[in-house]
Amino acid sequence: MIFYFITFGMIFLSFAIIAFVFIYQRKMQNKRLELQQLKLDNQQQLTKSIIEAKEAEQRRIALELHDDVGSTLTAIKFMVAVLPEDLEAKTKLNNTLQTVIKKVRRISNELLPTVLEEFGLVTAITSLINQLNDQIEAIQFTVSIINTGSSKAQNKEIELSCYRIVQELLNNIIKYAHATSVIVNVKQTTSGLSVFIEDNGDGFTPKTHTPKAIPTLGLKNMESRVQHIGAKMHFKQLEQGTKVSLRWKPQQEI
Amino acid sequence: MIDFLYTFSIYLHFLPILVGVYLLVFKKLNRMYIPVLLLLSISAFTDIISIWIAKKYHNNLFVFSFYALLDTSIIFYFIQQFLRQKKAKLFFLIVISAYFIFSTWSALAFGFDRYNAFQLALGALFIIGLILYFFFEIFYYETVDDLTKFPPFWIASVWLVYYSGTLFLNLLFNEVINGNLSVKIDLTNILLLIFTNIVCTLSLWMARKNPTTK
Repeated sequence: MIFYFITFGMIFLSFAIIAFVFIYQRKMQNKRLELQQLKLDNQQQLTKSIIEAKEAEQRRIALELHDDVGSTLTAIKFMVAVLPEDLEAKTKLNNTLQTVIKKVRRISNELLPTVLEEFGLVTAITSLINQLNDQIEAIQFTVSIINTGSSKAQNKEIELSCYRIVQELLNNIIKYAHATSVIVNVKQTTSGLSVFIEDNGDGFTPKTHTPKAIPTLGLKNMESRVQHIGAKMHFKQLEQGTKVSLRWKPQQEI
Repeated sequence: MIDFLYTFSIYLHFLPILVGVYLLVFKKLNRMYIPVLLLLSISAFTDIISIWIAKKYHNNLFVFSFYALLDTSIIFYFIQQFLRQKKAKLFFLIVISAYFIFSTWSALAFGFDRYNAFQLALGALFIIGLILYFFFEIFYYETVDDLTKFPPFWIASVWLVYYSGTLFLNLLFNEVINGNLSVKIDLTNILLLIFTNIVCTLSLWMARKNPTTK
């Protein structure tokens, strides 16, 4: 009898130890996961705050440039026109002032795209492509739009993030891809927004690239923005060039 | 009934062996599980051969001495693969070496055809200690994300149950042989053996999901 008592006692003790290890480890694991989630949430919150602060600062500088510096320059331009001096010198000064005014407007527009604020993402991307076509001769930019109405959930914050991502992607193509043709497809429907950018350059995916070849800051910014608005971005290397897709759906919004 | 269960428990050894060999052949099992298959094979072989020896020579007790050495060293080899602390590995290696020396001396001094309960109990205690330390490392280093998907934990657990359950069986086996103790020790051993083989089969099958080579 004692033998059975001791033997079953030992077996019971073994099971108790196994159960304790199993349950305690699960509890620890759950706590670890909670901690990781908390860290992730904090990181997302931090990213959101950084992006918002950056946008707010850009808006402030853009308004300063447009309303204050721009207006002052325009006023100087008119004042110069009425000065009774050498006509040639006056024309030169006038042209220089005109160039400065254009530059200020461009910088202001880059910092805060007024067309985006006033007419929305589709028009802003079309305008950006037109500008690039005017500025860069080596690359042919083509834009194709399907617009069946913007989503109710689509707000300015998401539009601005999408615009910045497209801006950064096009900027990277211009700088590093050695492409001669870029096609941008924008599809805006009530169920979401999709942007496809395809180029015929060297080809690139974030996984294969090295920090030496291309600076990672732009990529990180794009990733932060994508994460911030709850969108999905995918890079696909083609036989010649790269295709990037950016998709956002209202239900993905956090 | 006990005879049937005993025969069943011996042949049940082949279930995890077949599953393990099948997975190994098709490269679905990590090579670190080979010691488990080796131990099960030795266990099946010694059980079968001990029946034959008992029938022919009326004494198969020396088989137990060899088996105790083999299973202790194979289990040590299997578990130490998952240990992180080098000092602990060294400690267990020293202990098992001492155990080897003691077993050899004991066999030479008292004869091979004698059941050495102390030697077997020491071996079982070593395995229990090793497994408990393995559990401690799982806690301490937090290396395992999900224990349900970690077959070494279940294999070690079932060994812990088996060796804890048979510890007193080993100690009192001489009393049973001599007829001084009227307990059905065999039944406990058989049931634990069946349980061990079933859990080992399930664990090896579970291990197929991670077919990384060592």
